[in-house]
Amino acid sequence: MRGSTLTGLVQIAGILHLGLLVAGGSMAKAVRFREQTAALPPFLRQLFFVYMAFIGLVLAGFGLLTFFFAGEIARGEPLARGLCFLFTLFWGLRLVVASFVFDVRPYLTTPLYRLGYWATNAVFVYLLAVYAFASCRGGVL
Amino acid sequence: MNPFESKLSCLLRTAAFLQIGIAILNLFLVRLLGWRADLQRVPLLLKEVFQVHAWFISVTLLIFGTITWRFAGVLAANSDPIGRWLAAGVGGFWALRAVLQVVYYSSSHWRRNPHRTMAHILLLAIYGGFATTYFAAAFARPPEGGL
Repeated sequence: MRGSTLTGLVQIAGILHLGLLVAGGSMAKAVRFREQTAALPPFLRQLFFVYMAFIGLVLAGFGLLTFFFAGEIARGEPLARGLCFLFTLFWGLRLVVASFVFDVRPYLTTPLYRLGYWATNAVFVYLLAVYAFASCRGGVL
Repeated sequence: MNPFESKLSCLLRTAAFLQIGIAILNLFLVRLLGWRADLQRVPLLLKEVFQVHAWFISVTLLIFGTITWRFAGVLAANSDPIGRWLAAGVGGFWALRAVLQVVYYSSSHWRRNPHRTMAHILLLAIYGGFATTYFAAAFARPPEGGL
């Protein structure tokens, strides 16, 4: 694969992280997150929101790094490849969780939610494939 | 590697080690703090979301820890643009976490409980230390004449 093609694919991966951020926000709305967590003790409820906020922050950070350093990633520079290898593990695990842990069927009540669910899974596969490919370029880390 | 980079590299490796420790500890937080019964009160999907978020916070910290351990020298040398941005991002992550420890969590969780107060202060120092170390890697340069 030509470097410029991989750079483009990596930049798309960066943009898709921001799409996942939007999907995460709409998921919170779909499951009525605030109402449903009202029964929890305050500390646990706050921790719930802190986890959510930091996952959002991490997605934004991964996305921005990926987008702005797509060239370095495509060239297979050592630190960039190290990050790609770890991102591959991250998205591989996320795909496993989406496939085997969550049962979201009761919440997929509209065609839009169903489309969003399958689109999100497609994004996980895409991110896994792009980072895995980018991390395999070059020598031993 | 000059003395400043050498010390910074050592601090980064310490931060990496501690982050991996926090990542592992975070996986057992529900059991350690006895939250299982409380989590039974929310719908199954939300309980799973909480659990998965906890796992992915751990995975993220493992990523920060592993990449920092492996590339501590590169981060300390400030020689790679992606390393600088990564250090700034991880520093920002921990700076925000330290701020939230003070302004978001209610002090009623730890006030008048010496053990919790100590834990609160210790966590604040660790989070602040991480932020300072990563920001140093991203932005600081040794003064003329070395450190």
